Amino acid sequence: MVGLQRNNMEKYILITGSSSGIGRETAIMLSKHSNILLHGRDLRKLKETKALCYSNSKILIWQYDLIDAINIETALRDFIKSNNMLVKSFVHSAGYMKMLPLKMTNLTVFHATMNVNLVTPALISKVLINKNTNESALSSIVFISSNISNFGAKAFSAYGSSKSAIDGLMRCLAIELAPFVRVNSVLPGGVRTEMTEPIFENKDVLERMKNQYPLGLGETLDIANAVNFLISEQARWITGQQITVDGGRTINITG
Amino acid sequence: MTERYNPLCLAGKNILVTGAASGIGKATSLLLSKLGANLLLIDLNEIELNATIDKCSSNVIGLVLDITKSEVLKEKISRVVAEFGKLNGITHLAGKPSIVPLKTMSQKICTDIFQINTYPAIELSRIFINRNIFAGGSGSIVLISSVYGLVGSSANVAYATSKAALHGVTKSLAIELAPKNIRVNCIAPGFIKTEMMSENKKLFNDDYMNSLSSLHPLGLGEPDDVAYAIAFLLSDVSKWITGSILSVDGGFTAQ
Repeated sequence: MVGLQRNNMEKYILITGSSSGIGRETAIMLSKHSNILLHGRDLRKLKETKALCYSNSKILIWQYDLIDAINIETALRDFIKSNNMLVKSFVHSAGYMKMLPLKMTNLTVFHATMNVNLVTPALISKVLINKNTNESALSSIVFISSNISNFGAKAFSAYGSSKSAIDGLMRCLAIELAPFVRVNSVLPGGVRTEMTEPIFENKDVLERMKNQYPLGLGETLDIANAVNFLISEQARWITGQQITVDGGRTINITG
Repeated sequence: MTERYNPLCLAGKNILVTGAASGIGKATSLLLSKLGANLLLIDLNEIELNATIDKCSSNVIGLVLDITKSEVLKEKISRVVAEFGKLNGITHLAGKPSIVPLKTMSQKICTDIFQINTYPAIELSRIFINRNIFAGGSGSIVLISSVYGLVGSSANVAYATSKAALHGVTKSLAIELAPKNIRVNCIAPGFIKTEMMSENKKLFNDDYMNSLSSLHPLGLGEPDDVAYAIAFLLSDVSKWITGSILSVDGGFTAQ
């Protein structure tokens, strides 16, 4: 049972990686109807995102580097307690991508990739289902995975395996947390953001990508729209699912 | 900014719905109408079709038609479209269950099921892309399969193959129609509480309903749960999603 005092607390949607790209777009969109807890590393850019959000909602900022998986539980628990808030939905949009052939990939790269893309979203979910910290306020989780999750590509061993792993986590949590919390993934194709800029700035690669995407290249708005649908009540019977948003790229074997 | 973030609006879109008289088809018709779409509703049951039309709030026209009669399908739809206006999207909800063990299976039983569940999806898509039918701009085709198109169950060979075939239809047409900016997606629903279940208490007794429910981590679904996913895939908020199979099944296929 939710106590009277706690029940009056404001509910927020936590969006990690909201200082740029898909996370920022999603934060702005969701702020139309909901309070948002922005997360990222760069305080200046988080403040920029806040300024772009709708002014009718409350916006909080939580600065934390997700490469540090050791202190994440304590840090998030303390933040929630000290801000007297609850988190009703969690969108994990922060991502770490280093394109490297296996022979160049070392333990540091694997650690950083797995910490940001898999371990911290798991531990954040753990904190948010803790009754002492967040009552039973959490109802929906959406992980931003990647359309590489079910496929293979050169130089993507760390990133690709971390995205397959987050989808494995997604399915397990969907079953473990039902019927109280729905858990789903959105698998974007290549969308131009700060994280993917190294891919897009190469003209040859850009041309090749345009040909590989049957519907052409997408934008961050396309991904945010899918997140918005999944966390809403309209998707109340959808859990444990991957929604691929990639203009048909991964079904296009001729591309 | 308000225009950029306007989820699930179907105002001004003309949508064709098959199987509109009952169950998920009826719920979908009412929702699409509420979201502003003009509807061309098709069903064999005239009385129930008219009851659906009476409850719609937008511009709706009904067509009593046996969709297995492919030789008259194009002519009848063309005639109505000439008066109603060209189409932006179609969704094929007409379908028939079939539980027949292999030893009593026949080619006739299979063909009969394919004739309602599968072939009209191809035929309606063929009709839809005709320049006298498709309104141009962006188009969307949404097919309805079943979780039994994805997972195994006994005495289900005809039904399961008729629904799994729709996944092939979805992916190949997604690639073929992408240059016309027509998206093709499919929803695979789990067990939905429909009138058929509440009317047939003998087959759908409490024990059977409980066992069905226990297959779904979120319990049995409502027709509206599928309707919202159809609306999402018909609308422009999913403009970069094509060739996808989305399970709307309360977690049935995630475990």
